[in-house]
Amino acid sequence: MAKIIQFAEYRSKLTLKLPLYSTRVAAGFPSPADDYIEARLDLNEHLIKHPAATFFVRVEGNSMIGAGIHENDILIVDRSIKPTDGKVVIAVINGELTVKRLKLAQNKVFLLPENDLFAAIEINEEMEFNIWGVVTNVIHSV
Amino acid sequence: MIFALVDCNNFYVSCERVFQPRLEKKPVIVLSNNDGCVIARSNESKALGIKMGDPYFQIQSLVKEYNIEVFSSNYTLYGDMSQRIMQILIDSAPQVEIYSIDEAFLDLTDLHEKAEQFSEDLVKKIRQWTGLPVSIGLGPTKTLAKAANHLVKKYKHPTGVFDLSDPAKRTQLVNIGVQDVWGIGSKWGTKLKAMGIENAFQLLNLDPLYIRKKFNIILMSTLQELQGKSCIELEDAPENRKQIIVSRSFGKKISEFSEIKSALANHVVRAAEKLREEDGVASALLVFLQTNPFSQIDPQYHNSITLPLAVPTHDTRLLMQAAIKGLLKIYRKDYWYKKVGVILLKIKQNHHIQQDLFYEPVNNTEKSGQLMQAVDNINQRMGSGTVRYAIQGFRQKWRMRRERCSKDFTTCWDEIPIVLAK
Repeated sequence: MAKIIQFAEYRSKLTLKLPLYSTRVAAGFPSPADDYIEARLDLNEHLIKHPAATFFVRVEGNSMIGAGIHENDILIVDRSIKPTDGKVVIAVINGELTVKRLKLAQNKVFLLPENDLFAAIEINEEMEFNIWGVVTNVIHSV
Repeated sequence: MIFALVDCNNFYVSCERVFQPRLEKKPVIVLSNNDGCVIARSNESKALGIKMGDPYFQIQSLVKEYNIEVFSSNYTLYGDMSQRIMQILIDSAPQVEIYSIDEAFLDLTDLHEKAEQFSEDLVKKIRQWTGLPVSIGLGPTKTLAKAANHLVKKYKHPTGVFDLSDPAKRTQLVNIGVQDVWGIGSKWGTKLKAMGIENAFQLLNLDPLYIRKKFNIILMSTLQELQGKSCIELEDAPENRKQIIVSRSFGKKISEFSEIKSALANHVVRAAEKLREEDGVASALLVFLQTNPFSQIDPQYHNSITLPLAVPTHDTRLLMQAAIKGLLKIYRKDYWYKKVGVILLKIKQNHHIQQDLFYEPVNNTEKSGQLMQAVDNINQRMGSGTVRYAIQGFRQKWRMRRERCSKDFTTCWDEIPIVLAK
């Protein structure tokens, strides 16, 4: 053990302390790519247009498989987008958050699944219903 | 001039409702640190007679009888939702002054459209984008804007907006108690009531010079603001803090030195993080320790000690060393302590120290800066406390009681809301 400690002390005496420059000094060759350097691709910038209105949710269940949404996927939800016919939305039905495809037809509101094993829901006055947000992307691990 | 005061209705409760929609229209309350007192109520809870500040243990029978939903404060969630509202305001209005976690003043004087229409649209936008309901009061002064906001809520104006710009509308100020006027607390409120001034409208009709003589220039400014003369401007962003305080009451009283040391260590870590966020360095540090002053049975002891630091620093390890040294000096055994805390003092901007062109790092401050940066980055990405100093401890019996905290729906991947595809 004593030997190792001595070795460390011996090494530190070899280092030379140089004054630091507080500004960067240009180094290296001028690269032909210098004029074309751009920022790396940023997923946040690409996928999130309205950060204040964007939330992430996780899916439980398989009723939306036809839309490419599987159990455990993460959905990017943008609440600023107007929910229109055909959009995949997060809807609140009787106090629960659900994911469905929105159908507006003949002055009625329907929430459609994307899986033959599940039935469409027609919204009527007795139901507690509102749209929580519009799904813009699905994050699915393969 | 036209000011707006935007604030969220029942903010903490409303945040919980966004992610748990089953709570809509139900009585809900949120409790303070240590699940002690009520700090937020839904309108349904207010209707049941629950008051702001009611100790939780006192209302437990009401909670049971009416199935009131109870939550511990989830500041992580509320902070994130607050940032969203403020971001929307900053992007929508010409000038914004953030006043508290859920309130902001706007200066709409230079707006190109009518302030009332703008405000109604803003209420709808915030509701859609975040799920949070807000109220907006308008007026030619900040005090009137705040009063208008109070009236929106009291009379449940359907658009969520009320404008006191028109002097004829100011007769409505008779519905605001004098102690509820912005800038008037309970002390002045009591004194004014003793003089026969019960509501804001009566106050408004007084002579400013008379008020200045009887009270002071601050109350005179408030009065002038009520009369429509703007004396209080929108404030710029506050200067960086000169002091950073981190302390917390213990969940239960503690006597063991090692546990107090571990609590203090956590506070130092947090304080140092805040210091680095502001790019500051501290030149002195204060540690304080106290028993519970409200206890009828525990002997009382409180003390503090200030330690100057050899070199201004933001390195958690150096701050930690000083804090522990201080604690050793003031700790007395055989007392039951309720609170320990640290205050970072004499804070200066970091770059003031590094102006020197040939600056030689002392104590390896360059390396320590990189280490601190790495620790901060990891803790920010993976949750605070991921990288910790051994001294902070693991069992942490002194932690706040927060038995009913909702999930971190917007800041933790494992806790994002579940949506059903069933």
